[in-house]
Amino acid sequence: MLTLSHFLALAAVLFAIGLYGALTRRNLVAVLISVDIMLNAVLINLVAFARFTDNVQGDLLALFVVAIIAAKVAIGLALFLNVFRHNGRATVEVLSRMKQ
Amino acid sequence: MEPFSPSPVAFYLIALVAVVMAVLAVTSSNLVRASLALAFCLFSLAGIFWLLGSPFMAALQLLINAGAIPITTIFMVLMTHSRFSRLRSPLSAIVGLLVALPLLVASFLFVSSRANGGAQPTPLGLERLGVELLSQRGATHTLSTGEVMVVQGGTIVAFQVAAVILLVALVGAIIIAFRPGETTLAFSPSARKRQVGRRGYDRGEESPRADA
Repeated sequence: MLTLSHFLALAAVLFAIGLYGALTRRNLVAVLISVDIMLNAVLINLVAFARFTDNVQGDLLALFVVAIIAAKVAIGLALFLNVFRHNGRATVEVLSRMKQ
Repeated sequence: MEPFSPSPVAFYLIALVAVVMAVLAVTSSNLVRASLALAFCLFSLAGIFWLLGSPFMAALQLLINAGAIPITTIFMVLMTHSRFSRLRSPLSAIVGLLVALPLLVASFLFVSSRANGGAQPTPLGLERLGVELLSQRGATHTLSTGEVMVVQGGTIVAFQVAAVILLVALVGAIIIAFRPGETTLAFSPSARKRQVGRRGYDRGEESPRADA
């Protein structure tokens, strides 16, 4: 029988995978893919808690998180395009050089 | 609605696909393949939402997260010429494992310490979700089944704010990616002028950019 713990464990595994990718990847698009995986792990948590306690507000919050993910990807596309135009590549090192 | 018991076999199959595809998306050096793996991972998560009894979230996941997001990601890969990606350094792989593994172990310990007996997920009807989403807190509504529900969520204001955020994100993305002289909007006067200039250039006249 499936319990809440099964879904939380799946979300934890996905979050850890996404965190590993966000820390290790060099390309900005690859980092964005990893952040996407982390956000979807959070979505699983929200929906799982909401359904196991029959609380509709968790589902509503998950809906807004989906809207924020869409906005994040649109802005990310524009930002990375500009980083690529100015530096010829879109990598994490280019962004860390902006500190200087 | 009544609580139900989701099928464990389906859960383990879907979870396996999701985890394998997530690992591929994070480790593949070919970013087009990584985006495709991301699409499969998010696609299988729609099955998880379905198993949890939330068909609306499953549909939303299919439409937005499994449909639009990987396509936009592939656009990003191709427009920024980043088909291939490497690790930042061999050291960063160790750092990533050192951060991710303890987090994983800690969350597993936390999850297993809170055994929650025989709780079952309760499916969420579309009508109830829609009423909760699009009305104010405390409003009453008669469902099609005849029962009267009192709205506890009441997120109509947040819903409109989310719509404005999406609009602002789209306009912001256009403005950030806009480049004077290279990007032109089809309906602007300068675009028409450029088109006329280009036609003249085709007839053998000097390009207006040649002396710049």
